[in-house]
Amino acid sequence: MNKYLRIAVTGDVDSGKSTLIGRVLSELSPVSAHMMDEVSQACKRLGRDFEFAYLLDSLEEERQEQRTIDTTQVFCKARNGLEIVFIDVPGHRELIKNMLSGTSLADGAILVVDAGKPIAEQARRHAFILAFLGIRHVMVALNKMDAIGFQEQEFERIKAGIQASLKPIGIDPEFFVPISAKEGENLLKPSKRMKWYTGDTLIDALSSVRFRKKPHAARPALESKEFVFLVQDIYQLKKKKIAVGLLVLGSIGLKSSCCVLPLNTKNRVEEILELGRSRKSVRSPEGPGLVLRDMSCLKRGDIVCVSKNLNVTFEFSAKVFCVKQLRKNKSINLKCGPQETVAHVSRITHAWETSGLREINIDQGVVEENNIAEVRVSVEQRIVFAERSFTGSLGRFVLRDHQGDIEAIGIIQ
Amino acid sequence: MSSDPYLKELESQSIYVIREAYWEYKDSLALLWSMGKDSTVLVHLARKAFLGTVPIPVIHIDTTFKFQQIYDFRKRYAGKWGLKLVVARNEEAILDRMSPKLGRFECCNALKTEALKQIVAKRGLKALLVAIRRDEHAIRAKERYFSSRDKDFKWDYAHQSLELWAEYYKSQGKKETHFRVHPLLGWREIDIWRYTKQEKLPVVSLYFARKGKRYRSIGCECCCQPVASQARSLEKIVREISSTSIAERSGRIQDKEKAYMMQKLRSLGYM
Repeated sequence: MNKYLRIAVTGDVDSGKSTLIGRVLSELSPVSAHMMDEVSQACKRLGRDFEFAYLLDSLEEERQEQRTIDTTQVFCKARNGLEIVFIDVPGHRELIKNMLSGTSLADGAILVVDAGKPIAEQARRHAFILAFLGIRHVMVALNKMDAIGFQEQEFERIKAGIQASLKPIGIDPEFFVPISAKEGENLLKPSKRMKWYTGDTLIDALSSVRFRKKPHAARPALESKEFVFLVQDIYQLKKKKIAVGLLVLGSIGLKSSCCVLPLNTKNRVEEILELGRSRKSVRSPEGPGLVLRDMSCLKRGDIVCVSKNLNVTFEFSAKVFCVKQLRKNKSINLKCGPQETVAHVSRITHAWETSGLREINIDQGVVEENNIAEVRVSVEQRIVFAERSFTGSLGRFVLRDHQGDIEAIGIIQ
Repeated sequence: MSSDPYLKELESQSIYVIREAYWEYKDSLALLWSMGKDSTVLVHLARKAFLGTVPIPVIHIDTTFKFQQIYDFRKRYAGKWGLKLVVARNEEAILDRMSPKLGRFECCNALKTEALKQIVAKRGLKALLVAIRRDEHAIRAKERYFSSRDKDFKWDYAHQSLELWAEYYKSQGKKETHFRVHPLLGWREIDIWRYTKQEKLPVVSLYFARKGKRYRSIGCECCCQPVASQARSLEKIVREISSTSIAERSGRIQDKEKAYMMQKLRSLGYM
């Protein structure tokens, strides 16, 4: 069975994201009668026509206020065995952390833009976040074409504007589809009211091989014995110490020589364990228990590996998205995979606001929330990292305050 | 060994989450087991995560209204898998003869949510592994892998924490009494059945069709209705789920009794 395609539906508030998903969902997969009933009754109580968005916006407050508060996900079957999970996210600026929560899991994204309005600051911010999170498959759905009379000239004019606006962000959408989510135009069937449009419908664009198969970024080919295993914990079973964790890359065979980072000690895999049996070899993404020849110093956060693509350091450069205000030299916790250490931002080299990419002043050593910065990070204990294209997990990190709240998301440069 | 790569990915991610939760909470972590198909998969994943013996308590919130088959299943597999089973009941409400006749909302709240609160307080638990999935219910679709509850067990769904890649989450804090950890959040009903089949896991017999009917979702005998089905084997259940448009919890009365009932129950601490 194929893995499903996870598509985040992003864009400004009121651009019609939930309506788009609700409409596609109800046309693609039979929505249960129970759910349709529940939505019809809710609409009746609120004195409204049937709202497709309510298939997603399940909270009472969301329906009363007509806005998505939290991110949600729905599963549906498209065509040719393709299965899609739509991730709906809120458009409001103050709900950006809910947008981030949903979008971080996506394989690709639809940026929904209201054809009747100039491209909003928030849509550009969402586009920026997609680029920042490393989501390269992006298509634009130009919604509410009904409001501009389904006109080709208008579409072309707006499309050119959006392209120009997204270019500096590093997003070059693979598709521009003129749609009307409310009226179902160009979602599943080619629109009869926009015969001038000969491109793919929204669902065809999603199903297209081009959109699905384009790799996120080229990963260097693995060497034959290369592997990376993150140690999550050390369990003691029948007086034997076992390192449990996740094999994020490659495969491990019995008697493999390996290296334990960050200390850079040589070691050897003596046993590979799983529930009720031992194995001769395991492959990513399995999560076995390992017994190494020398278990004495092994601890959570260590990386057992054979790889030339990992770096060990006390200081590194990164690009960070500030979920909260970021302050230079403030003591903060850094988490990178299972590695945790006290850290601080030692230098802020540049900062930009995310909607227009205007450079902002950093003389005070402070970057406000929702902005982005290029920084140097210093850590108290050495950490192991890799390029994002090599292993997602060791190429990104978060900075958390002492309450455990995430203050910034970082991508190692 | 031929196992499905997609199921392998789901399994591996869930095991990662279980181990992270155990690392954070050690002995103040517990697992909720209803003997249903989802939490039985969760128990299996925990056995895999811990390479055998599950070191944390496995709690059954017992309303006393469960099907007999569920109690039989509990006895058999708690023993076979060596689980540290804890049966939690709201004895006071049971003595007061709480039942769905006094209102389904009230009954769920007293016999499930209250019973859970009592056991959490009694054992000083800080986190619970719970087998909910996003595709079960539109309200559960909004959950996080690590989801906090305040001292009154309330779920503040409008202000949930930021969570990234199911890997970075909020896991500590002063004002929260406990965290709900949801390792199966990204699984679908079909994935649960395909995995159950692949791993040859046992399930309560109520899931299999008898006389043209089977239960899609099981709980209290008085509040569950069977759906029409001919599926008498795991194979046939997988086939049935692939083609149905009937909601999984359509036989669960508490979901549809009143508007937003699930939202209200969950915001008060229901699973």
